[in-house]
Amino acid sequence: MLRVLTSRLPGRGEIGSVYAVILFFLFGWVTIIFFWKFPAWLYYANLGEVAIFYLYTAATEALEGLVYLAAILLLSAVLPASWFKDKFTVRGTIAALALPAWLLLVQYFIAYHEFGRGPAVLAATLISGGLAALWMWLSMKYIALERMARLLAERTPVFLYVYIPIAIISLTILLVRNLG
Amino acid sequence: MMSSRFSRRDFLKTAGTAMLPLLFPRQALGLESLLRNGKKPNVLVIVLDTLSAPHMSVYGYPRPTTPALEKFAERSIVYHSHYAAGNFTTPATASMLLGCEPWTHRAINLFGLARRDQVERNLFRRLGDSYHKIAFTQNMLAELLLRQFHADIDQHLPFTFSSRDLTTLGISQHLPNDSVASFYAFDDFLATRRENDGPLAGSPLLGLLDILRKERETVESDAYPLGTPFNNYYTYTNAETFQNILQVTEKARQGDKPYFGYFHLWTPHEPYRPRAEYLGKYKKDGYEPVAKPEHALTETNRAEKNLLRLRQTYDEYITDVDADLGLFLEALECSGALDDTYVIITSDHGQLFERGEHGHNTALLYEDVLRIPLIVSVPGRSDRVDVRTPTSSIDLLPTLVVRLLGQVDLAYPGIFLPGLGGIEDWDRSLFSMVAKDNSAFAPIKHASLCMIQGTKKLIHYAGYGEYDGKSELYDLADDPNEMKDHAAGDQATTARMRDELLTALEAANQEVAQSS
Repeated sequence: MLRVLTSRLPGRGEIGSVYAVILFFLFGWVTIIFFWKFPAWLYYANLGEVAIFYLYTAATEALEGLVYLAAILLLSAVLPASWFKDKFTVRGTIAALALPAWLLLVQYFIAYHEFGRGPAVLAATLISGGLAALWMWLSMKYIALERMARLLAERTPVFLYVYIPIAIISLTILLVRNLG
Repeated sequence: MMSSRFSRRDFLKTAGTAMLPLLFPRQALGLESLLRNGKKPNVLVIVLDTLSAPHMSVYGYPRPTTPALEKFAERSIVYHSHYAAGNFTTPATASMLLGCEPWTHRAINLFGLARRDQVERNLFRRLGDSYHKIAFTQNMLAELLLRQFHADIDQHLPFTFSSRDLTTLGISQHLPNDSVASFYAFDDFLATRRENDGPLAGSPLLGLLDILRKERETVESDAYPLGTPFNNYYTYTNAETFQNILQVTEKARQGDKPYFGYFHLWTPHEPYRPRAEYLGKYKKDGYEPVAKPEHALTETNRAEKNLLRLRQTYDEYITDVDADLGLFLEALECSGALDDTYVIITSDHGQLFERGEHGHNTALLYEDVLRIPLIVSVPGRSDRVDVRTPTSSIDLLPTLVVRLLGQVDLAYPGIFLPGLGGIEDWDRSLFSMVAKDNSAFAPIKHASLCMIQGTKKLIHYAGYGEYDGKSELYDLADDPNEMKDHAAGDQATTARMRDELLTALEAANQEVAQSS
């Protein structure tokens, strides 16, 4: 069973690339929101305390990225290989962007437009899923679009040298703070 | 900062303590107030959030909002001019628990914290090991302060202790060793979009889970036509909350040590959700509060008609919680707890329904938002005492320290409450403020400041653009509704009080600058 499952998964390098894209999106998003909150925090927290908030952020995003990666790998395992696994770098990258975007869109429609759950999920799926599907389909026809996805997957792994150590340091410090 | 000079305040404190055995032979100093079983008395503090004293019939409000407290007052010390040191939970609660003004403890921002070097002055630590200390709050702003004092609390009940239905992820409560930092990271940032005009949550996944939970915040029912009481995090009922408090305190009463219990409830804070039997109770009762002109610093700009409707529902909600509180107090009496327990009913701050303003997130410092109830039942006493001199929420801590431990601590600026060993002092100055737009670490420049001395009340505005430097002066004896501003007519009093107020602020600013 395990052998069947692993045979349906892409190579480590491809998985790493997609994880890098996920973290690139998550760390990018959270950094924007972090700096939006930063001035407010400085009203009542010192820089050391804000740094602790950032450790929680980094650790959470690294773990959250694994959840998205697991979902994408599940998709790869379930779908026919020719649909996803064989084109994992490109399609996994597009899915890595579409998945968190979908989650944010659902929140956006509920929070800012007072949509109910159903309409919010539908609208987010149409936008995020639609754009992702369109990108995947067009990337078969237009090499530039495929290259765009591939470029992201090839360039973002360099950030893993930053994200992973930060995540490990964060998790270690937070474990000590919470278990100590 | 402690003054090396022995001030008039210190003299009054010391003199008051010396007179305690004369004034209260049985319950004078803490050491002399041991009960028959040789145990010190318990202390039960019930804080009803956002309860404005001017809206309570026990303080003369025309609507019969607090019949149960009126009954309880017949055996208690009733403080008629008790003031919060701040106009919202963070500064006001910190002042009560740290025994100093907001310009000293600096918990002045919404979701702010007390100065780290002030934390050790908290009431829980001050009571030492001789008390079993219990704390619970339904207000997250107060919970953050309790989390700062967590190491000094023996039984810190979870924020969700009386929850019916948690509507947020509330991740930080699962990380008790780092609950303050994890609150800001998770509950204020990664999982929650708090501000209406703010961005989405920092984490797409946690943010979605949180927002889906939030959708359930309004649970309407036959009993609660406007929805079950809700504190922005979970729904609850006051009856169940009081029941739970009763169970905890009764168990604590059986312990080896006396207990000190601090229970800070959310009701009657917004959203006002009275039960069906109280909703509409005051709809056509003919009561018409004094209409007051809109203030230049009003933020909500509500129409008078709208304020009247909100006031009515608020009053109904007070009546609702008073009924549950009455049952709770009866249960205490039946169990004999009133014979060995100080029961203290108070609030953190009040609520405004005037001058176009609704709420307490405001720059205004009028009576309805500052004057709060303080009703104290002393074990073994069954007569009523009325105290009319102004008192402050910062007085509770030094009073409890002297009553329970028999120690006079001059490090706290508060006085001993009259009726509990203190001397009535009409010349005393007490202060309240709101400075939420200042950094907690910088000198306070942008604030509304209030000073009360006898029946005179000065409100001073600093850093408000065109309103900067303006003062208002009221005589509360003749004008309890604060309709006639004497600042222009009585410039000498205005200048004297403003100088004293700004000198005190400056001293506090310098002390903070030196400490940081």
